Amino acid sequence: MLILSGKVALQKNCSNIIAFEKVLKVYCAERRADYDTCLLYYDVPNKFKIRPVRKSAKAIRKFILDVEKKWGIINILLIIGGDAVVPFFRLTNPCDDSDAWVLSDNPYASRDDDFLIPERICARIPDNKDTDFIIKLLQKKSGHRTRKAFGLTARMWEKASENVYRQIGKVKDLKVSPPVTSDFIKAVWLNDKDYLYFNVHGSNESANWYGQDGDEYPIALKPDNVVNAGGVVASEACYGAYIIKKSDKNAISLKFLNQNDVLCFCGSTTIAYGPATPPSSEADLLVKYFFEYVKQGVAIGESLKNAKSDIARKSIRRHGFLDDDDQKTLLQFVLYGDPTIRLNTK
Amino acid sequence: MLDTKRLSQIAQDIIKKFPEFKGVIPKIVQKIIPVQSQAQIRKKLAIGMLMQRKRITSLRFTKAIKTADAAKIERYLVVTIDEKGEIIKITHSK
Repeated sequence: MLILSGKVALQKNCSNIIAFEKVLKVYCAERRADYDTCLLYYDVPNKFKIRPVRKSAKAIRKFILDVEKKWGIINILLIIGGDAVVPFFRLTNPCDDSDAWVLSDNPYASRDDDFLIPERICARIPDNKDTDFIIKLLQKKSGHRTRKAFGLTARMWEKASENVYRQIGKVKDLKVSPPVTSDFIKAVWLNDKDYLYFNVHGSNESANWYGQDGDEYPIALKPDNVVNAGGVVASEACYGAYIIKKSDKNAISLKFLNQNDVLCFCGSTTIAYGPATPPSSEADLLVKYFFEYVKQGVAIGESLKNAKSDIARKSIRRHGFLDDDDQKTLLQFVLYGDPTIRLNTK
Repeated sequence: MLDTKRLSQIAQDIIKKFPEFKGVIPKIVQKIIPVQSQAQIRKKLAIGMLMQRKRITSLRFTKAIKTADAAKIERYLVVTIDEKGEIIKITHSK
């Protein structure tokens, strides 16, 4: 497992990276039985004598490939820091929508130039401009089972969401917006769960997530609603995982990650797509497969990697090819959190 | 190119099903997926080559909406149709 960051950028964004490095030593020691771990900064001299590179996604990717030549196969990549430390790739948008680019970590996870199907497990721990935030995420432990789930869907996509939610919970418990809105979300709904699932709208103009019924788009969830939440969080909302120049005050993803009992956040960096009704496809199918693997006790990093391969395979078998929406789905979904964490099967 | 009458019928059916897109004229895009398409991905996934090229047409509906707190969202609805005029899938932006 390669743990990668940029020392100069991390020092600039956060205070006290000495505390972070101490915690990282403990993190690596705890995983020694299962993983050969190595922390490298791309921007300072290193033990492999690979020339440091500037803060550019392409240069950092080349750095990772050079490390692999000297050290050996890298199966897991953990990126420490947000876009200001290790930039997301800005990839050509396969869809004809208002996104100029697709922000993606897939190229960091890919050995070849086909970024749609990554070979490595890749996850990111955003910095939230706070070393304590990074430390908190590194210290999260694999979760014990509560066997409970929470799900919130826009009314428009109720049937489609049921198809996903039945993997993790009882369909009758799925909350629908409207009538559920952020004013009526109870903190206890998000507490003490294995899974938190959201199939709602998101916006790049607002921190909130929205339901939908016809022309009505009520606020379904605000950052302030996220209190004492717990579990593996997966959201299909557009921009659900968009964190550039954001903090846990105005990004629901970061607010979730800052909760003690939330293990990870899986979401989309840009406009996401999915069906109105079953069968599941695009974002619905990705999240469905992700939850299925997590439920089987597979580590979260491997769960997302497997889910991406599986939706690609399914889409090609169904239609004969990956269309624009399928390709964007594969690129845009990212994982925030420790990729080695899992839900215990007992 | 698919018959415009068929495309028009599909567009009307879609608007009946999703009336929030009433009044929106969809963008029509035609694509040919060649046999050697996405060969590298297929190899990675151990899936055989495409048997024959595919022609698909997509209808793309776009509408700007405002949420309850006045945030703007661009809504997209994409209908993918095969060369026989059958709908392969209907996808919404989130």
